[in-house]
Amino acid sequence: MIITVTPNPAIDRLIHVPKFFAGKLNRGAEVFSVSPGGKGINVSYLLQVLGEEVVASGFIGGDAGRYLEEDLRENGITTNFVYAAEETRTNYIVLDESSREQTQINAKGPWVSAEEIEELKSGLKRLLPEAKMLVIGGSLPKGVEPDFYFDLISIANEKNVRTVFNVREEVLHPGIEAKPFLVKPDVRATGRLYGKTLDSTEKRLEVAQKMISQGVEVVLVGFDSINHLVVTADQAWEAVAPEMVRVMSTVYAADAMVGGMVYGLATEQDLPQAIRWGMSACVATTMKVDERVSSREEVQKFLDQIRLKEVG
Amino acid sequence: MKKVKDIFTPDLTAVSENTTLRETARILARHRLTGVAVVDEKGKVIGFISEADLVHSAFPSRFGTADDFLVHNFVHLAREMSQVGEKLVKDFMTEEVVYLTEDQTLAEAAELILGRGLKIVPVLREDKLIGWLERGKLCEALMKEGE
Repeated sequence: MIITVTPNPAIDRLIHVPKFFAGKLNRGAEVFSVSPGGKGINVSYLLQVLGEEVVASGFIGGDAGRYLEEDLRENGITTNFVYAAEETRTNYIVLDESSREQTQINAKGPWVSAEEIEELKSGLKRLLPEAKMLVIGGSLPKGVEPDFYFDLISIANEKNVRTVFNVREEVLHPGIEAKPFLVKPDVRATGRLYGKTLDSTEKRLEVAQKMISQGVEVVLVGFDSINHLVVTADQAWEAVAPEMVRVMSTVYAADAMVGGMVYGLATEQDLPQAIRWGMSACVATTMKVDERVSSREEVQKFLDQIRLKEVG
Repeated sequence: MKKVKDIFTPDLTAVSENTTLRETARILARHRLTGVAVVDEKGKVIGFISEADLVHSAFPSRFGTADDFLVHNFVHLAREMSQVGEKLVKDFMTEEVVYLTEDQTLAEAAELILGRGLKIVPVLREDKLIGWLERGKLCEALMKEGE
């Protein structure tokens, strides 16, 4: 079983409008999809499609939380959420059909109390002895400090469970101090990390090696929408998608990469093959319009087409 | 015939024997559950506590029913309930847990839940919690089965 923790999950509402005008009344909008979102949640759906048993955890609240929980269960994912007093956030993604531009509005999330944080930690301690891996990631709701991630990774390390840590830089550093097994910094918003713009292989390698020197075993850095640099203490690869791939959407791509790699590692495959699973999931996801993959076959068909190029 | 695994809710919400009754009441209310499994630190199910047990903790002589005087005297009722809030689950839980396993049939689930008048039953794999089955969900499944 693999545990995912999404401290601040969301309901993502994807809205299509013929043409989007900021600051104006936009008529003729259609709700294209309503689906649970958040890094750990997205990884959970992928792992379930690949056939792994998943327990999804985090903080939820209100009717939005209930909707999210129900959707996970209907998709065969076991839940173990802590209910907060406030409602789970809703994010709005507005797609302008004429320009294909997306405007995303992400809410902050509910307030979570110290008592609820302890409830989540004690649930995790109970489940970890049965777990193959722990996947944690995403933003933090109000009331939860970044050292929450340090605590979760430390708890998993005590139980000898490998942790995959997938967050933005604002909350990355306290977690790294606890030495997670694999780190994937989310650099999509800024393209920067440790004060560097990640616009070359050398710069990406440099920041990845900085994290390796802090005790992380594998670092994953995305570039060019769907490709990834993967670095360990003594090896580095650039994992490249097949040239024929036409990227339709990158909405779930980064989390699909993480989910595919977690699947490979949890099923005892070597690191290059785990990278291939990650990239295949990523590629399969980008070829869909704002949808998750729905079958193992969709992912599997790209496995032999992923190119790993040694770098560094 | 459908089995428990086709209709149960895969959810691991649980309390420990050292959880307070106040905390248990909060968990039951927020999850909209009528009862919850009690597990040890390894996840083994060691008991079950229901909303009826919470009431019973404050009014033991009434078998879980507040008497008329207390119900009509809200201040007194709230004080009685508040006083038991810091008491622990282990003193009020049912230790002999009635449970289902995922491969049991709906007939067996019906015999247990409807036969004993239970609202919710934990579903176990070996001695670990894997979810729960509520009476409402069972009734819905039985109606579909009979179509």
